[in-house]
Amino acid sequence: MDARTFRVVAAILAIFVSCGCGGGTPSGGLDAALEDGWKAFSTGDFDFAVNCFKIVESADAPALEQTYSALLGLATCHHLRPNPDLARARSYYVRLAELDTDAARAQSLLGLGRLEMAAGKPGQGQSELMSLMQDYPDRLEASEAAVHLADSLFRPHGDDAKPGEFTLAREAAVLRGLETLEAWLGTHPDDLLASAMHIMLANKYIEMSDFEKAVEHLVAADEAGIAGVKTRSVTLWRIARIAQKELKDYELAETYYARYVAEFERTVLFYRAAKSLERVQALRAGQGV
Amino acid sequence: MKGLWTKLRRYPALLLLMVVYVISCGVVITNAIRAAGGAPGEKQKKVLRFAHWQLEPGIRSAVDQVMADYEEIHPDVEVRQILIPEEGYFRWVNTQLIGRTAPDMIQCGSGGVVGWALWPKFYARYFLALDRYVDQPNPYNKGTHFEDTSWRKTYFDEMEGGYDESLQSYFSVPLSTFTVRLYYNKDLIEEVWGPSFPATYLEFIELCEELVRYGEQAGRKLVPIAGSGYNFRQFFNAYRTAFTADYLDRLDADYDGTVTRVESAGPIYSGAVEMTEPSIRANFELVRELSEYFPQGYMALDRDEAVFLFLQGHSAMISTGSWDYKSLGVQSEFAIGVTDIPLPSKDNARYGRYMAGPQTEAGLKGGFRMAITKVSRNADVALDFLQYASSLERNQELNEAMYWLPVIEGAETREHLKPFAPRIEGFSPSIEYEGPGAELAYNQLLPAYMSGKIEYEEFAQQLVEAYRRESHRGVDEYIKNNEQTLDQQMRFAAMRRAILTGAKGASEAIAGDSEAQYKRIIEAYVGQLGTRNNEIRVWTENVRLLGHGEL
Repeated sequence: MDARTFRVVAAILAIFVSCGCGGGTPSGGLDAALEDGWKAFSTGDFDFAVNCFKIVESADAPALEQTYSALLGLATCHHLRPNPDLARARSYYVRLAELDTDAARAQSLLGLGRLEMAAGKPGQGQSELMSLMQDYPDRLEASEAAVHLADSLFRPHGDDAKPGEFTLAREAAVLRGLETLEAWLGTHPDDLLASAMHIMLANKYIEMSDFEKAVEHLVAADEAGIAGVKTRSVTLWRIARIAQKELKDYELAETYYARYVAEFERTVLFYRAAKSLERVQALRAGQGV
Repeated sequence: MKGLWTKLRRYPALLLLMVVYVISCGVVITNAIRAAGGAPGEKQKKVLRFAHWQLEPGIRSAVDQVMADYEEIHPDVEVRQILIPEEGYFRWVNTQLIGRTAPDMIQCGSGGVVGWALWPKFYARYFLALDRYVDQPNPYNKGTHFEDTSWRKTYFDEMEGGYDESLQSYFSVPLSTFTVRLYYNKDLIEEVWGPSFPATYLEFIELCEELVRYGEQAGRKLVPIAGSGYNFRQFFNAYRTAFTADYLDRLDADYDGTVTRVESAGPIYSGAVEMTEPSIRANFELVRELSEYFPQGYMALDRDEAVFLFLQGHSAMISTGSWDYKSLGVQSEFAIGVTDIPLPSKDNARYGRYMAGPQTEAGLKGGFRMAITKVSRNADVALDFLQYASSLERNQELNEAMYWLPVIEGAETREHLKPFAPRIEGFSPSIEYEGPGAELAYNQLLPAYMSGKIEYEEFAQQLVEAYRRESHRGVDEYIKNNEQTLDQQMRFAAMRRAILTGAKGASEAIAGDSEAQYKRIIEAYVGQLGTRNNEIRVWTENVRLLGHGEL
């Protein structure tokens, strides 16, 4: 190939490269790149998000909070994207911890804990989560760690070699999970995630057919305040239903069916709740209450 | 130049590549200009393109009217409709989205089972999340009692129809809602039966018999009900709920008020619930009894063929949705009546003891949902147009013109459409026969049973055999697929957590109260963890029951 031909080919390649790659680069300053990165993360556009966060990570002298945001973004993208790259995610979580702020270290421990579990090392993951709960007991990440720790103890396991065969969690692990959540709620009764933890406990007690405790925790979840409308409607229904069918506590059932009927007319269980309310009222009347 | 040409001629492949590249550039530029609405003569206007598949008569003109009204108050905007037939709609949307040539607004929700799985992925990648707008008042409700009400709260379903549970976000704006009823040829029924439609299920069967006799006497083929593969499912589900509502107490192992596919499949697999139980058997036998009055080979017919049979007067009844009300009225040469799908009453000797009641429509959500694409250059105008179309007054007008049900609370429904008003009383389905893995077998065996090729015992036996053969793999896949939803929830939780811990740029990227959203996401997450653990426990217990022969 002589020099002139080479120039032609190079020019064509340059056009190809410039046309093909122009659409995937963010523009603006570091803060704008971070905003673009988080926007892309929220819509599942992980490649673009990684590009944005990398611009900040490799910038000359980003501010501490910019570095925190970029490293957290990179770690989270590689961790939570479909086909995750756990090795890269781990390296960013480790670098995050080096930032030496409580937020960065707590996020790092939470990320590493979940990552180890995803990598098939539950013991190591649980230990990271427990460190987080011990070292930063008043942080949001620690509350979430309690949820993931309990989940890892309650979780049944599938067998890839035998599809459809599962091993349920061992009794000792389940008891440890219950203790973890109950102890956390004992010391953090007003935790932001208290409602979620009570629901988790109730689910497990229902599985164990301990309906008294299940209802106790569902009522506690309701009292702690449930943010999700659907979760709230299901919780009211479950309290009423278990009270009626299992505990024969018709007074409690009446209270919660009545609340369900008053609050959730636009749900498929409305008519059942209304009919059940009539039934428990009749039962109570029959009991002379 | 001549030298360059001489050189290039030595490389024909390179030459060809350059020519193709230049042509491609031309096509891309043309498409980009079209996508931007920059067609010749329209340079001064912002052009909004609006794609949907509603080709029923009257819909296009009704939407045209709303567009014209909007253009009148926004003379710098032009709104255009793109009508795509339903059969090719999903493929068309897919191509447009991937090619980044999609219009500004797209109707969401078609594509059957594949579409059901793919739409959340489309939303996440190609559509604008509307969360930051739904809690603000709709500016076009100014002067009404909704003036200070959030846009979301003006909807009869609080805009649930536009909310994607798996992404925990609002992505579409519903404009109408729909219910399914039985339409009938009033003239023909009056001639054969009398002025009023049968009041009971037994009378309904008598009517069908009368219609068959009437056809034979008149020397023409008259099919009482214009069934097809499409509307058979609507028919079947109405009866499934009526016959099996009581299974809720038996199958809902976690007391959450719903019976999941595994909560059904486990007991059917083990035999704890037998397909030969009286109410289940009655469910299938009644539908088979009714299918005697459907056209031969109805399972292979599609929706349009069934509608054609009805419109041609070859069928006296058809079960379809309120979306067909105007099109059937316009195209038929007879008066049309609308009624509920008839259920046996409690005193029916054969079926009455199993009857719970009708299927509730209390959980009805908005439909005809429009989402705004991210490639739209006028996303703010598209949003404004959708707010206009979903304001109290306009939504009523639009739906009056389309003969559809409005979605805004308090918007008046046409008198003719009153029979379509959502039924609050009633039950939700409480058993699912198509267990994970057994779908194929079910969909092969059901037509065989309905057409009389096999008897019920054989149907039930072969279905249970299919459960025992296929459910292990099916349940495994089902559980794994559901894990993906959990992963998505964790992504949204991580985003909110990043905001709450001060990650720069995160709070500007997504709207809403992050603390409340974070709490809500974790609550939904633990709810789904509970469902997963419960399903695995139910499944495992049923595998053990069958293995140990404890039944």
